[in-house]
Amino acid sequence: MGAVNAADGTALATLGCVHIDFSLLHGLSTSVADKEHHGRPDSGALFGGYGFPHKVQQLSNKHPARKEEITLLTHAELNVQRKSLSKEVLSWEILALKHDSAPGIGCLRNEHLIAIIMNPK
Amino acid sequence: MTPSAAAAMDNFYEYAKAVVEMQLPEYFYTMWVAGRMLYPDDMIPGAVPDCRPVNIGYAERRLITHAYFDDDLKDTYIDILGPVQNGCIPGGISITALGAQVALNATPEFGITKGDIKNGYNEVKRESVLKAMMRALGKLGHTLSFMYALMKPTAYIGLGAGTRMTTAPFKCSEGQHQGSIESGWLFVFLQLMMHFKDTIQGYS
Repeated sequence: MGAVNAADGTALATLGCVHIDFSLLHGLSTSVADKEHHGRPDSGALFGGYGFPHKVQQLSNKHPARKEEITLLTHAELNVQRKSLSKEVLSWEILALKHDSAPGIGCLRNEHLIAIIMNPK
Repeated sequence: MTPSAAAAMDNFYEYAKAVVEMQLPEYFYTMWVAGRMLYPDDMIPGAVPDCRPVNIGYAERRLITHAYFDDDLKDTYIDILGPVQNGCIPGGISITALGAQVALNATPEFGITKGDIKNGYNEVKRESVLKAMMRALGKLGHTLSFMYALMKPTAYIGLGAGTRMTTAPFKCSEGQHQGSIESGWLFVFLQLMMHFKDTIQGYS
Protein backbone atom coordinates (compact mmCIF):
# COMPACT_ATOMS: atom_id res chain seq x y z
CA MET A 1 0.00 0.00 0.00
CA GLY A 2 1.35 3.38 -0.87
CA ALA A 3 1.74 5.98 1.81
CA VAL A 4 2.43 9.61 1.22
CA ASN A 5 3.58 12.11 3.75
CA ALA A 6 2.54 15.50 2.44
CA ALA A 7 4.26 17.38 5.27
CA ASP A 8 7.81 16.60 4.30
CA GLY A 9 7.25 15.53 0.73
CA THR A 10 8.46 11.96 1.14
CA ALA A 11 6.59 9.04 -0.27
CA LEU A 12 6.96 5.39 0.63
CA ALA A 13 5.24 2.36 -0.73
CA THR A 14 5.34 -1.32 -0.09
CA LEU A 15 4.15 -3.42 -2.99
CA GLY A 16 4.24 -7.09 -2.23
CA CYS A 17 7.66 -7.70 -0.77
CA VAL A 18 9.30 -4.72 -2.46
CA HIS A 19 9.79 -1.58 -0.44
CA ILE A 20 10.20 1.51 -2.58
CA ASP A 21 11.53 4.86 -1.51
CA PHE A 22 10.26 7.33 -4.07
CA SER A 23 12.87 9.87 -3.10
CA LEU A 24 15.32 7.64 -4.97
CA LEU A 25 13.15 7.99 -8.06
CA HIS A 26 13.14 11.74 -7.97
CA GLY A 27 14.51 12.13 -11.49
CA LEU A 28 12.02 9.69 -12.98
CA SER A 29 9.10 11.15 -11.09
CA THR A 30 9.98 14.65 -12.18
CA SER A 31 10.17 13.68 -15.82
CA VAL A 32 6.78 11.95 -15.63
CA ALA A 33 5.23 14.93 -13.93
CA ASP A 34 6.79 17.33 -16.43
CA LYS A 35 5.49 15.27 -19.31
CA GLU A 36 1.99 15.25 -17.91
CA HIS A 37 2.26 18.92 -17.17
CA HIS A 38 3.26 19.73 -20.72
CA GLY A 39 0.59 17.42 -22.13
CA ARG A 40 -2.12 19.07 -20.08
CA PRO A 41 -0.96 22.54 -19.11
CA ASP A 42 -3.76 23.04 -16.63
CA SER A 43 -3.61 19.65 -14.97
CA GLY A 44 -1.97 20.77 -11.76
CA ALA A 45 0.00 17.53 -11.79
CA LEU A 46 3.15 19.29 -10.67
CA PHE A 47 1.60 20.65 -7.55
CA GLY A 48 -0.21 17.63 -6.19
CA GLY A 49 -3.31 19.62 -5.43
CA TYR A 50 -1.66 22.61 -3.81
CA GLY A 51 -2.57 25.84 -5.51
CA PHE A 52 -5.76 24.43 -7.02
CA PRO A 53 -8.14 24.14 -4.05
CA HIS A 54 -11.15 24.77 -6.25
CA LYS A 55 -10.23 21.78 -8.41
CA VAL A 56 -9.71 19.56 -5.40
CA GLN A 57 -13.13 20.68 -4.18
CA GLN A 58 -14.64 19.79 -7.54
CA LEU A 59 -13.00 16.38 -7.38
CA SER A 60 -14.27 15.88 -3.88
CA ASN A 61 -17.80 16.75 -4.97
CA LYS A 62 -17.52 14.24 -7.78
CA HIS A 63 -16.53 11.43 -5.43
CA PRO A 64 -19.33 11.10 -2.91
CA ALA A 65 -19.18 8.88 0.15
CA ARG A 66 -20.64 5.41 -0.13
CA LYS A 67 -24.41 5.62 -0.14
CA GLU A 68 -25.13 1.99 0.56
CA GLU A 69 -22.93 -0.51 2.31
CA ILE A 70 -21.88 -3.46 0.22
CA THR A 71 -23.47 -6.67 1.34
CA LEU A 72 -21.04 -9.41 2.20
CA LEU A 73 -21.06 -12.36 -0.14
CA THR A 74 -23.07 -15.29 1.06
CA HIS A 75 -21.59 -18.71 1.62
CA ALA A 76 -23.28 -19.93 -1.55
CA GLU A 77 -21.91 -17.04 -3.61
CA LEU A 78 -18.41 -17.65 -2.30
CA ASN A 79 -18.63 -21.30 -3.18
CA VAL A 80 -19.44 -20.71 -6.83
CA GLN A 81 -16.70 -21.89 -9.18
CA ARG A 82 -14.63 -18.75 -9.78
CA LYS A 83 -13.47 -17.65 -13.17
CA SER A 84 -9.72 -17.75 -13.57
CA LEU A 85 -7.48 -16.57 -16.37
CA SER A 86 -5.43 -18.26 -19.00
CA LYS A 87 -1.65 -18.17 -18.95
CA GLU A 88 -1.59 -17.81 -22.70
CA VAL A 89 -3.86 -14.76 -22.59
CA LEU A 90 -1.85 -13.25 -19.76
CA SER A 91 1.39 -13.68 -21.71
CA TRP A 92 -0.17 -12.16 -24.78
CA GLU A 93 -1.46 -9.20 -22.77
CA ILE A 94 1.99 -8.60 -21.31
CA LEU A 95 3.49 -8.48 -24.78
CA ALA A 96 0.74 -6.12 -25.90
CA LEU A 97 1.37 -3.60 -23.12
CA LYS A 98 2.06 -0.08 -24.30
CA HIS A 99 5.38 1.54 -23.50
CA ASP A 100 5.68 4.84 -21.71
CA SER A 101 2.20 4.76 -20.16
CA ALA A 102 1.65 6.84 -17.05
CA PRO A 103 2.19 4.85 -13.85
CA GLY A 104 -0.29 4.56 -11.01
CA ILE A 105 0.32 5.35 -7.41
CA GLY A 106 3.15 2.88 -6.82
CA CYS A 107 5.10 4.02 -9.89
CA LEU A 108 4.99 0.48 -11.27
CA ARG A 109 5.27 0.81 -15.02
CA ASN A 110 4.32 -1.43 -17.91
CA GLU A 111 8.01 -1.81 -18.65
CA HIS A 112 8.44 -3.54 -15.27
CA LEU A 113 5.75 -6.04 -16.22
CA ILE A 114 7.17 -6.61 -19.69
CA ALA A 115 10.46 -7.52 -18.05
CA ILE A 116 8.77 -10.55 -16.49
CA ILE A 117 8.37 -12.23 -19.83
CA MET A 118 11.72 -11.29 -21.30
CA ASN A 119 13.73 -14.38 -21.99
CA PRO A 120 17.10 -14.48 -23.70
CA LYS A 121 16.18 -17.78 -25.32
CA MET B 1 19.61 -16.98 -16.54
CA THR B 2 18.94 -17.88 -12.93
CA PRO B 3 16.24 -20.42 -12.09
CA SER B 4 14.14 -17.74 -10.42
CA ALA B 5 14.30 -15.56 -13.54
CA ALA B 6 13.32 -18.53 -15.67
CA ALA B 7 10.33 -19.17 -13.43
CA ALA B 8 9.22 -15.52 -13.33
CA MET B 9 6.34 -15.91 -15.76
CA ASP B 10 5.07 -19.09 -14.08
CA ASN B 11 5.22 -17.39 -10.70
CA PHE B 12 3.49 -14.27 -11.98
CA TYR B 13 0.74 -16.38 -13.50
CA GLU B 14 0.16 -18.16 -10.20
CA TYR B 15 0.03 -14.79 -8.48
CA ALA B 16 -2.43 -13.39 -11.06
CA LYS B 17 -4.61 -16.46 -10.63
CA ALA B 18 -4.69 -15.95 -6.88
CA VAL B 19 -5.67 -12.31 -7.40
CA VAL B 20 -8.62 -12.97 -9.71
CA GLU B 21 -9.84 -15.94 -7.70
CA MET B 22 -9.99 -13.71 -4.59
CA GLN B 23 -7.55 -15.87 -2.67
CA LEU B 24 -5.65 -12.92 -1.24
CA PRO B 25 -6.56 -11.02 1.93
CA GLU B 26 -8.82 -8.00 1.90
CA TYR B 27 -5.98 -5.53 2.58
CA PHE B 28 -4.30 -6.64 -0.64
CA TYR B 29 -7.26 -5.50 -2.71
CA THR B 30 -7.34 -2.20 -0.80
CA MET B 31 -3.81 -1.58 -2.05
CA TRP B 32 -4.56 -2.91 -5.50
CA VAL B 33 -7.39 -0.48 -6.25
CA ALA B 34 -5.58 2.66 -5.09
CA GLY B 35 -5.20 5.21 -7.85
CA ARG B 36 -3.53 8.43 -8.83
CA MET B 37 -5.73 11.22 -10.06
CA LEU B 38 -5.14 14.08 -12.44
CA TYR B 39 -7.69 16.74 -13.07
CA PRO B 40 -7.49 18.54 -16.39
CA ASP B 41 -10.23 21.06 -17.08
CA ASP B 42 -13.05 20.30 -19.42
CA MET B 43 -12.34 23.09 -21.86
CA ILE B 44 -15.71 23.99 -23.28
CA PRO B 45 -15.70 27.53 -24.70
CA GLY B 46 -17.89 29.80 -22.66
CA ALA B 47 -18.55 27.26 -19.93
CA VAL B 48 -17.37 27.46 -16.34
CA PRO B 49 -14.18 25.31 -16.10
CA ASP B 50 -15.02 21.93 -14.70
CA CYS B 51 -12.29 19.42 -13.99
CA ARG B 52 -12.61 15.93 -15.40
CA PRO B 53 -11.04 13.41 -13.08
CA VAL B 54 -8.59 11.05 -14.76
CA ASN B 55 -7.82 8.13 -12.51
CA ILE B 56 -4.64 6.22 -13.29
CA GLY B 57 -4.74 2.79 -11.74
CA TYR B 58 -2.03 0.37 -10.75
CA ALA B 59 -0.30 -1.04 -13.86
CA GLU B 60 -0.61 -4.58 -12.57
CA ARG B 61 -4.34 -4.16 -12.11
CA ARG B 62 -4.74 -2.97 -15.68
CA LEU B 63 -2.82 -5.95 -16.99
CA ILE B 64 -4.48 -8.67 -14.93
CA THR B 65 -8.04 -7.42 -15.36
CA HIS B 66 -7.38 -7.07 -19.09
CA ALA B 67 -6.38 -10.73 -19.21
CA TYR B 68 -9.35 -11.64 -17.02
CA PHE B 69 -11.78 -10.03 -19.47
CA ASP B 70 -10.92 -12.53 -22.16
CA ASP B 71 -12.99 -13.25 -25.26
CA ASP B 72 -15.30 -15.66 -23.43
CA LEU B 73 -16.22 -13.15 -20.77
CA LYS B 74 -16.62 -10.35 -23.29
CA ASP B 75 -18.93 -12.59 -25.34
CA THR B 76 -21.01 -13.23 -22.24
CA TYR B 77 -21.41 -9.50 -21.67
CA ILE B 78 -22.15 -8.90 -25.34
CA ASP B 79 -24.86 -11.58 -25.23
CA ILE B 80 -26.50 -9.74 -22.35
CA LEU B 81 -25.94 -6.17 -23.49
CA GLY B 82 -26.00 -6.49 -27.26
CA PRO B 83 -29.74 -6.32 -27.92
CA VAL B 84 -30.12 -3.02 -26.06
CA GLN B 85 -26.84 -1.38 -25.09
CA ASN B 86 -24.29 -0.46 -27.72
CA GLY B 87 -21.90 1.30 -25.40
CA CYS B 88 -19.39 -1.51 -24.97
CA ILE B 89 -19.97 -3.88 -27.82
CA PRO B 90 -17.76 -3.97 -30.94
CA GLY B 91 -19.03 -1.57 -33.60
CA GLY B 92 -21.47 -0.07 -31.14
CA ILE B 93 -21.12 3.49 -32.43
CA SER B 94 -21.88 2.45 -36.01
CA ILE B 95 -24.84 0.36 -34.90
CA THR B 96 -26.23 3.30 -32.97
CA ALA B 97 -25.68 5.88 -35.70
CA LEU B 98 -26.97 3.72 -38.55
CA GLY B 99 -29.84 2.37 -36.44
CA ALA B 100 -31.00 5.88 -35.58
CA GLN B 101 -30.75 6.90 -39.22
CA VAL B 102 -32.78 3.92 -40.39
CA ALA B 103 -35.39 4.46 -37.68
CA LEU B 104 -35.81 8.11 -38.65
CA ASN B 105 -36.00 7.30 -42.34
CA ALA B 106 -38.66 4.68 -41.71
CA THR B 107 -40.68 6.83 -39.32
CA PRO B 108 -40.08 10.53 -39.90
CA GLU B 109 -42.43 11.46 -37.07
CA PHE B 110 -39.93 10.03 -34.56
CA GLY B 111 -37.44 12.28 -32.83
CA ILE B 112 -34.11 11.81 -31.12
CA THR B 113 -33.09 13.20 -27.78
CA LYS B 114 -29.65 13.12 -26.22
CA GLY B 115 -29.23 12.89 -22.47
CA ASP B 116 -26.44 12.58 -19.97
CA ILE B 117 -26.34 11.32 -16.42
CA LYS B 118 -24.45 13.93 -14.46
CA ASN B 119 -21.44 12.32 -12.82
CA GLY B 120 -23.16 8.96 -13.24
CA TYR B 121 -19.92 7.03 -13.58
CA ASN B 122 -18.66 8.21 -10.20
CA GLU B 123 -21.94 7.96 -8.37
CA VAL B 124 -23.51 4.70 -9.46
CA LYS B 125 -23.95 2.53 -6.39
CA ARG B 126 -21.56 -0.39 -6.26
CA GLU B 127 -24.03 -2.36 -4.21
CA SER B 128 -26.51 -2.05 -7.08
CA VAL B 129 -23.91 -3.26 -9.57
CA LEU B 130 -23.11 -6.30 -7.46
CA LYS B 131 -26.76 -7.06 -6.87
CA ALA B 132 -27.44 -6.83 -10.58
CA MET B 133 -24.53 -9.11 -11.34
CA MET B 134 -25.22 -11.92 -8.98
CA ARG B 135 -28.83 -11.97 -8.28
CA ALA B 136 -30.27 -11.26 -11.69
CA LEU B 137 -28.46 -13.52 -14.10
CA GLY B 138 -26.51 -16.66 -13.41
CA LYS B 139 -24.21 -16.02 -16.35
CA LEU B 140 -21.87 -13.75 -14.42
CA GLY B 141 -21.93 -15.55 -11.09
CA HIS B 142 -18.43 -16.92 -11.63
CA THR B 143 -17.02 -13.39 -11.82
CA LEU B 144 -18.82 -12.10 -8.76
CA SER B 145 -16.08 -12.69 -6.20
CA PHE B 146 -13.43 -10.79 -8.16
CA MET B 147 -15.76 -7.88 -8.91
CA TYR B 148 -16.70 -7.83 -5.24
CA ALA B 149 -13.02 -7.74 -4.27
CA LEU B 150 -12.47 -4.74 -6.55
CA MET B 151 -15.52 -2.79 -5.45
CA LYS B 152 -15.61 -3.48 -1.71
CA PRO B 153 -12.58 -1.38 -0.66
CA THR B 154 -12.76 2.40 -0.56
CA ALA B 155 -9.88 3.29 -2.82
CA TYR B 156 -7.07 5.58 -1.72
CA ILE B 157 -6.53 8.44 -4.17
CA GLY B 158 -3.27 10.31 -4.62
CA LEU B 159 -3.21 13.67 -6.38
CA GLY B 160 -0.32 14.70 -8.58
CA ALA B 161 2.73 12.60 -9.37
CA GLY B 162 5.95 11.24 -7.92
CA THR B 163 7.39 12.97 -4.91
CA ARG B 164 4.84 15.75 -5.26
CA MET B 165 1.92 13.42 -4.76
CA THR B 166 -0.48 14.25 -1.96
CA THR B 167 -3.33 12.37 -0.38
CA ALA B 168 -6.72 13.41 -1.71
CA PRO B 169 -9.24 14.58 0.89
CA PHE B 170 -11.66 11.95 -0.40
CA LYS B 171 -11.65 8.31 -1.42
CA CYS B 172 -13.14 6.54 -4.37
CA SER B 173 -15.79 4.59 -2.50
CA GLU B 174 -18.72 4.70 -4.87
CA GLY B 175 -19.11 4.50 -8.62
CA GLN B 176 -16.79 2.85 -11.07
CA HIS B 177 -13.05 3.47 -11.32
CA GLN B 178 -12.30 5.74 -14.23
CA GLY B 179 -10.13 3.97 -16.74
CA SER B 180 -10.24 0.48 -15.29
CA ILE B 181 -11.03 -2.40 -17.59
CA GLU B 182 -14.15 -3.71 -15.89
CA SER B 183 -15.79 -0.34 -15.25
CA GLY B 184 -17.32 0.23 -18.67
CA TRP B 185 -18.85 -3.22 -18.80
CA LEU B 186 -20.28 -2.98 -15.29
CA PHE B 187 -21.65 0.53 -15.72
CA VAL B 188 -23.47 -0.31 -18.93
CA PHE B 189 -24.64 -3.59 -17.47
CA LEU B 190 -26.21 -1.81 -14.51
CA GLN B 191 -28.04 0.65 -16.77
CA LEU B 192 -29.53 -2.29 -18.64
CA MET B 193 -30.57 -4.05 -15.46
CA MET B 194 -32.13 -0.89 -14.01
CA HIS B 195 -34.09 -0.34 -17.19
CA PHE B 196 -35.45 -3.84 -17.38
CA LYS B 197 -35.62 -4.71 -13.72
CA ASP B 198 -39.32 -5.37 -13.90
CA THR B 199 -39.03 -7.80 -16.77
CA ILE B 200 -35.93 -9.78 -15.88
CA GLN B 201 -36.76 -12.80 -13.85
CA GLY B 202 -35.07 -12.98 -10.50
CA TYR B 203 -34.20 -9.30 -10.19
CA SER B 204 -35.22 -7.62 -6.98
